[in-house]
Formats: sequence, C-alpha cells, structure tokens
Amino acid sequence: MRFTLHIWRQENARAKGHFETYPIDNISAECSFLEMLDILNERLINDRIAHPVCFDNDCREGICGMCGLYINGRPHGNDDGITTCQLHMRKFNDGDDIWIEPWRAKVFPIIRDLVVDRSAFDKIIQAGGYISTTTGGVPDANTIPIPKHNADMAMDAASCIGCGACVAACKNASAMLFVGAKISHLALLPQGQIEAADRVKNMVAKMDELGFGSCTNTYACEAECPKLIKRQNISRLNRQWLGSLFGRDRKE
Amino acid sequence: MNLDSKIPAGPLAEKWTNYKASQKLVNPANKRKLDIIVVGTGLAGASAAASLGAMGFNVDIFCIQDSPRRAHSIAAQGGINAAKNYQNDGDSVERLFRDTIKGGDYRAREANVYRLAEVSGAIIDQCVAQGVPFARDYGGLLDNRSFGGAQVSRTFYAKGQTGQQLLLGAYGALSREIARGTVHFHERREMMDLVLVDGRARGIIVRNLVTGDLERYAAHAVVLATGGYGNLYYLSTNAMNSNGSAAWVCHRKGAAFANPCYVQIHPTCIPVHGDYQSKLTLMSESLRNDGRIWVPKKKEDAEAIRTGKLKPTDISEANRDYYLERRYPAFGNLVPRDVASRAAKERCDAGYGVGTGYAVYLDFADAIRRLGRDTIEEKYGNLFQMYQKITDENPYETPMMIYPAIHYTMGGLWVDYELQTTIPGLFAAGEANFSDHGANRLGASALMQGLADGYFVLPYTLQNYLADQINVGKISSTAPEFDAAEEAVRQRIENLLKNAALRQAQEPSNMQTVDHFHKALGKIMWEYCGMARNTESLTKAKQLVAELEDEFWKSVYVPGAVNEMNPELEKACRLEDYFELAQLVIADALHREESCGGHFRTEHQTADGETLRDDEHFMYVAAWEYQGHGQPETMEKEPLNYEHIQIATRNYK
Amino acid sequence: MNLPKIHSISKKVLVALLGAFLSLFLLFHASANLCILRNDGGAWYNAFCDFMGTNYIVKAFEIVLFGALLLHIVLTIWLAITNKMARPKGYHKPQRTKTHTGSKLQVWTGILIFACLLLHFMDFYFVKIGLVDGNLNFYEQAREKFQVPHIAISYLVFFVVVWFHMRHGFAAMFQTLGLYNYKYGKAIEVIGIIYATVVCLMFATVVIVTFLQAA
Repeated sequence: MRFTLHIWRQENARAKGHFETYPIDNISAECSFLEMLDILNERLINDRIAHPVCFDNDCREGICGMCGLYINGRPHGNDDGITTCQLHMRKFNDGDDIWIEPWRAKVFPIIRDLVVDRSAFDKIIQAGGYISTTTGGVPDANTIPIPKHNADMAMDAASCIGCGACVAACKNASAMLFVGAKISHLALLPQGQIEAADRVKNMVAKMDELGFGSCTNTYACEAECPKLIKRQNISRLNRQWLGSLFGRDRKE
Repeated sequence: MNLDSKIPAGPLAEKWTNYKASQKLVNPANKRKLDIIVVGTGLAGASAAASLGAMGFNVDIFCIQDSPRRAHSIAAQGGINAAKNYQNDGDSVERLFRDTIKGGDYRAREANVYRLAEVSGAIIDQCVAQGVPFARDYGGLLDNRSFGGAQVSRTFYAKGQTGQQLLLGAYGALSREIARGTVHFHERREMMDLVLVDGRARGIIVRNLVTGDLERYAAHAVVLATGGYGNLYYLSTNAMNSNGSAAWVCHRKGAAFANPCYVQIHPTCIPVHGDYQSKLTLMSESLRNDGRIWVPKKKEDAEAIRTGKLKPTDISEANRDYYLERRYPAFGNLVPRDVASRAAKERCDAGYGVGTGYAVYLDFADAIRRLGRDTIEEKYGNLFQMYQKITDENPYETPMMIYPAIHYTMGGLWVDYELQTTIPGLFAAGEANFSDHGANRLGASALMQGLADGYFVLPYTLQNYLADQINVGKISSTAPEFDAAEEAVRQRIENLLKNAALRQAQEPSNMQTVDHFHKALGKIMWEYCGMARNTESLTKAKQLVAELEDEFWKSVYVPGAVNEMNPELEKACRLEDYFELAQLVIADALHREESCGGHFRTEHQTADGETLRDDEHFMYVAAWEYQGHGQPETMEKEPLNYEHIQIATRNYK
Repeated sequence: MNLPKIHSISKKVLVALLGAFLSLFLLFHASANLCILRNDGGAWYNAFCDFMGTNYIVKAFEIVLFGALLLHIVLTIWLAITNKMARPKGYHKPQRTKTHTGSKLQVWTGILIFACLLLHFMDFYFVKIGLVDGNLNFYEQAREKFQVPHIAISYLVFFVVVWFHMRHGFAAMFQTLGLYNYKYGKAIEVIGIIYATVVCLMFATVVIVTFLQAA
C-alpha cells in the first residue's frame, strides 16, 4: 500500500512546529500503524532525510496508554475501541492522505513532534484517585462482599488506560471522562466510600486548577475511548460531586 | 564473590517468621533521615516505593515512561495466584509452594519460594483494600480460575486485565505517597549507571530522556525493579521500552547475574506475520482453561490449510490431534508453559503447523457449545476483541492461531534471601531478580512475586540493611565517585555518536539503523538459543553474536545529538548492553548440560521428548561475575539444598 | 473580598437547574398561549394577561425568571470561554468523531434564541412594560402578528431552534445532575424529545391555527 503522510514536526517544547509531508510505499495491510511509522523512521534515517519522528509508544498491545496520535481527525484513528498501536493499515485505502497530529490541549504541552506531556493526569490522581491504605493490616479479602454487578461496573470504569484520547477528542479538552472513570471505579466499591466526598472534591478542584475544560455533553470522549468507558461515569461523577456538596455533615 | 544466601535457620515454615522476629528495625525518627532509590514503577517498584514511603523513608522513584502507570506489569492479563483456598479445592501454602518448585523444575531456592507462597494471601487482601476490582461470583465473594501447572483454582483475576488493575492499585498507593511528599517521582529517566561508594550502592546516574541531560541521585540504598531482558530476542511479548540495561550496568559494577539462560517461552502468542513486526502479542494463558489446542492429524490436511484450500472448521473431530490432551492426560491443555511451548514446536517442526507453518489452533468451539457465547464473552471478551483487532479474524467463529514467543526471564540479578544482590545496598525485586521461579515460571506467579517483593519482603529486609546506616548522614552526590560514573556514561554515549559519525563520513552507504542490528541479534538468539538448544547451535550463536557486534560498531548509524529527545540513541545504548548479555545467556546455556524448565538441551531429553535433568551435577544456581568487555565471565555455584521437598521428575501426565 | 470559587461542575449544575426552570416556564407559557385558540374573543387570554401584568407575586416571579435567564446565559458564556482556553491551538484536520451534534449546536441555538427573544419582546413584553408602543390587547396583538406570513414563519423557525436547544438540554440536564444512568439513559432521551416536541408543538399550533384562520 502507498500513503502520503502529513506529520506534525516540532523540535522541542518552545519551537514553532509545522507539518511535513512524507510519501511512503510498500506497506503491508497487516502492518500496524506504529509499525508503519517504524518503517518511515527507518527510511528517514537510512536516506538521511530528517531526524526520525518521535512518538510515544510502549506495550503495543493497547493497555499501557502510552501511544496516542490524532489521525485524520480522530484520536487513535478511524476505528472504535482501540489505541493507536492496535490500528492496522488495512483500515486505510491505498493512496490515502494521512494527517498525524499530537494531542492538542493546554494541559498537554508538546515535548517533541508527536510526544506530549500528560503528567496532568498523574496530578489529578495524586489529588485523591486512590483508597488510602498502608501496606498490611487490612482485613481478609472475602470479608467485604461486593455485588457482582457493582464489581463489574467498577471494573469497566477502572479499565481506563490514561491515554488522554478523551481530552484530545473533547472540543473543550475536558478530562471529565478520565476523572469520572476513576471516581466511578472507587465509588462503586464499599472500600471507596470512606473518602468518597473528599476524593471527588479534590480531584475536580485539581482538574479545574490544571486548566482542563468542562463537559458540554458532546460525548466525543465516549466515542473515542479505547476502552469504551461510558458517559454514565461522568454522570456518576456529577452525582458524587453534588453529594459531596450537600451530603457532608462536618465543620470545615 | 560472596554467594551467601542468608537463609534463616529453622524449619521451612518458620523461617520468615523467625527472620522478621529477629531482624533489625529503624525507628520512625531515623526513617526520615534515610533515602532510598527505586528504579522502575512496575508492580515490584511501585509497591515497594509506596510501602517504604508510607513507612516514612524518603524515596526517589524513576521510570522510563511518562507515568508510573505505564510499566509493563500493566500488560499482564490472566491473573495472580494466592493460596487462599477460597474454592475449598485443597489449596494451601504448602501446595502453592510445591507447585511452584515443581513448575520451576526444582531449580528454585526453597526458602524464597515458601515465603512467596506464605505472603500470597496477604497480597490479595492488600489489593482488595486498595479497590482492585477482582472478578466476583453472584454471592459477592471473590472468584478464581485455574492456570497452568496447578490442579486447584487459585488464580484471582480482573477480566483479562489483572496486571493493569494490580498496577493501578499500586500506582494509587504510590500516588498517595507522592502527594504526601514521601516519594519523589522522576519520569522519562533511564538509569545509565550505578554509583558505588566504598563498595556500597550509593546512587545512580540517569539520563533525562527529554533533555538528554545526565542527572545524579544519591541514597542509602538502591532498589532495582526494572524487569527482565526478554527484548534481547527483539520479538517478544515485552513492551518496546522494556530492556535489560539497568540490571546489566549493575552486573558490570559487580552484581552477580544468575541463571541467564532460563528464559520463558509463552505458548499462546499471536504468530509472527511479517519482517516489519515490532513485537508479539500475548494471548492470556487463562484461555487454556476453556480453549483446546490442536493441529490436524494428517499432514495433507495441514498442508491444505496452509495453502488456503481448507478452513480449520472443515477438519472433522476425528482428524484433529489435541496433542496436549493426548500427551498429558492429567493436566491436558493446562500443562506448564515450557511444556506447552515445546509440544507446539514439536508438532510444527514435524510439519503439522497451520498458518505460516508456525502456528497451532486454540479452539473455543467446544466451550461455546458447552457454556454459551455470552459466558465466553464475559470471561475473555477483551482478549477475543484484541485478537480480532490484530488478525482481523473472529475467534468466536474460527479457532485462534497461536505460537510460542519469548515472554519472561527467570534469570536475573542474583539475590539472597533479603533480595540483596552481591553489591551491598543494591536490592533487586520482581522480574529483575532470579529468585523464585527456578527454570520455569508458572502462569499468574509473576504478579504474585512482584507484589510479594514490593509489599511484604523489601519493607522488612531493607530495614535490616538500613539499620546500620542511620549514622552515615546524607549521601552527597558531589562525591568523586559520582563524578567518575557520570563522566564514564558521558564518554560512552559520546563514543557511540562519534563512532557513528566517523563511520558515516567514511562509508555512508554501509550504514544501518540500530533496529537492523537488534532484529539480527534477536533472530540469532531465537534460532540458536531459543526453545531448543544444543552445543552446536550455541557455539554457532556465540560466534554469530560476536560477528554481529563487530558489524554493529562498524556500521551502526545513530542520528541526532546527545542533548535532545533521541529514541535512536536510547536504543543504541541498550543494544550495546544486549550484545554482552547475549554472550552471557549463551555461555550459561552452554555450560548447563541438562534440560530443565525453559532451558531445553536437545542432547538431554527422555525418549518421548521430555526434559531430562541432571540433578547430580546441576542442582545449583549459576551466578556469573563480569570480567570486562569481551572477556568470558566466571561462574560460581550456589548449591540448592532441598530439605523439605522430595525431588522428583516433573510429570504432568 | 474574594469571590467564592465556583468549580466547573457547580457552574454546570447551575446551568442545568436554570435550564430546567426555564423549560418548565416554557410549558407554562405554551399552555397559556393555547387560550388564544378559544373562540371567546380573547376573554380568557386577556384576563390571564391582565393577571400576569398586575399581580405582585407574578411581578416578583418575573424578576426571578429574568434573573434565571441571565444567569443561564452568563454561566454558559463563562464556561465557553474557559473551554476555549483549554485548547489554544486546535487541530488541522476537522474532527471526525461521531458525537452528539446537539451539544455543538447548543451555543449557537442559544445565541439564536436570545436574538429571537429580543424580537419577541419587541412584540409583546416591551409593549407591556411600556418600552415600545403597541396594542396592549395581547389577544389582538397576537392574532394580528401571526397573520403576517413572514412573522409567522420566523416564529415557527424560532420554535424549531428552541426544540433543538431543549432536546439536547433535557438529557444533558439529567447527565449534569448525575441522574443519567445505564437503566434510564435511553428513557431520559426519549422523554426529552417528547417534552421538547410537545412544548414546541403547543407554541406552533397557536401560530399555525391563527395564520390559517386569517387565510
């Protein structure tokens, strides 16, 4: 197969970036998108055309959340429920023009080319996306029965890989699905109840402070989430938020 | 080299309790004065850093990716073992211990494995408390499934994403400590060297992968949790950035490397399909609970399938060879990984392979008939989806094709009972050490080991080491040892780039990329030091690797500069280490004149093709000491004394 | 004095609650309008208008209503500005994600509604409070206006825009208030469409019938 690639090149965080066009041919349809970029890089190096294109990737099986490219107008490319590394060239037509852009959001500054800094996600989790436990001294696992239904829903929410596609897809660069998924995961479990009010309060405050946009119910996040996390989790986040405003009975 | 394993005295079941009762501790006020470096944020690293931070130590943690949550533990699919006996099917600490020792083909240290089995239950308690959403049954209690090498159901799981959920649990605990300020997190850093001061590990040199700057960090102890070296084979189930360099630089500085030839080849991976392929994808071992593995009984059928004349569904039941069920009736499709892998290779080498000839079928038709599609979807839905995304085939309708691939390395830095390497103050945890799995790791045991090391072993044993360090004072990173180490790293990197630039000026047409050499190295290792080895193939591999390394220095091209984000440079540095590591793996494989677990020497097999151990001569851990570049390493033996367990031939029939 | 910090979700909850309030008002308004269709020479309708114009409780309510409308607008503009700031540099390729178009239209339908409202006030409300000259008999005023083709058509367009705004707003309101879940999600969306359709049809019926009566 043959493609014309238009790739965002930017030398470092401060540099002004631009699109560069690279034709590429002889690509197998069974090739994954990132393998296609590997081949491009190999050619860029061998023919001394340019510095190879930098892009984040690691596990290449759709679970680490490291890869993330905005391909022809869609985060992770034109397929549902996948990460960029799971996108295969058979999804394209021979001769296609492919535009490859980095995630765009104020909170995700570009580091180089297609690599962005997503540490804002870590900061949100650090604001409370956990259950406070110290190692040891916890009860036996089966002393806390959890309805299967709740455990399954918690699992669905917890399957978030933190890739940032929701933010990249959202017209407001909002992180509501990311935050909603973590809040839901913990809110659905009895272990998560104890800190629930503080957790939602602190995580939302951090999200706002970092400069993410807010949700306008477009649900582009849901459409692009590689793990198919549902918008109901955002609703649960809102519910938890309201609960934290009115449901707490203590002095502050 | 001091190979004192420091196994505590007393009966096996009481060793760990005795150790904890008599070890030295550090009081809370002194913990604040002690610094610990943890390299790696996988299950072992994250859990260790979180636990140590919560105890009050100052911890610095480093990872190569942009977030601690990306470490490759996240990709573990199937589950985590624990001797909880929730299913009332006869499980116990003793049983898990025996299964693990047997699964490792009697090449693991008894005391370490027993401790692992002993703390396994606490891991599940810990994870549930953290909110890990393990699968549950309708009564709300935890569900289990079974894995290879066991006759009980002791594997806890969270869909096909158990590693992810466990890592996110540890990541949560770590995030809490980062927020509290006890742990300092450094992202996008690669460890380039270990700094020794007066023979103790006192710090590390890292390269900032964004700016290219070298940075130094000092501490009272260093914990290495950097995973295995499976990517030596280029095509493996490891992540692209997983590498063996952090462990290797420690080996260069004097840490012994144990059993490097024990690499695990996982039987259920998606087969190779092209030269451009960058990695192999694992299909969880849990699939073997319900999937049945087969190839056609007749060669002509296999031939017809390969040429596309027949479809797998055209082969009648009578013409299918369920070779695992045939050869191993007691364990069937759930034999340990090394056994299943070799059996697949045997069938394919004999001409019964499907696909490209190097694939066998993993069939769910029976299970779907028996349990219904919905049940199968609930159990394995995400794995099936993953398979379909990659291969464009629907596993609900046609059997999956699978083939073995490099997955895990049982070998690693030699550690004693305290997980301390031969360098005082340098500890190794998780896959980076060699300790618990012998010659073969059972499925769902890697997660167990990583978390056991991080949550329940290191927090104790590190204290025992640090107790004498309270009067040392802050370690200064301006010491001359740090200057020297940093300078050496700088030299090494500049050398690579300068050499490449020089060669480029001389004969630009001959230059090749780093990946070109890595692929070539992987091919040599897979071909001659892979699933089956013998003196001839290993001798050949040794020579080919040496030639390739020469070639590498003559014609590798590394673009870009030092002070920028430069993935090619990172890869070149790692490959440089792989050449040495490859030679050690080969040397170890050559010296071990027996077959055990993942190490299969064709000269040593039974009449029906099973591994043939030589307990009389090889019942020991081979610990290797670095002697300088290009020099053969020297080996010392740590004998394995089985006091508790009765040694037997591994039998899964 | 420091202004209290309002978090993004709180703003959205306020917008949703105000939207709910405004939607209820529209139902009330549409119901009242149906009186125009009575063949009583505007007796009921004018009596109603008279009550609305003189009762003090209603007058107080009027302030609340306008306050709600204003706050609804101010908060959404505030959110829209912060949302724009969250992505200073956009994508080169236009988005191809399958999304709920209603949401993207919401700002624009909102602005359109505001413009239409001003025209609507020129016809009725500003007359009532004496800002604009006109017939104070609203029954006659309405029948007169709705019989002019271009005015009738613009009112119908106005209702269509309101329909779009309410259809999205209804389900979004449940989502923002945390009431959207797996079980009732679909039902909420259907009810939203029914509600928006009923209210807009009630408005439209008055215009259409009046127009046809003239013809």
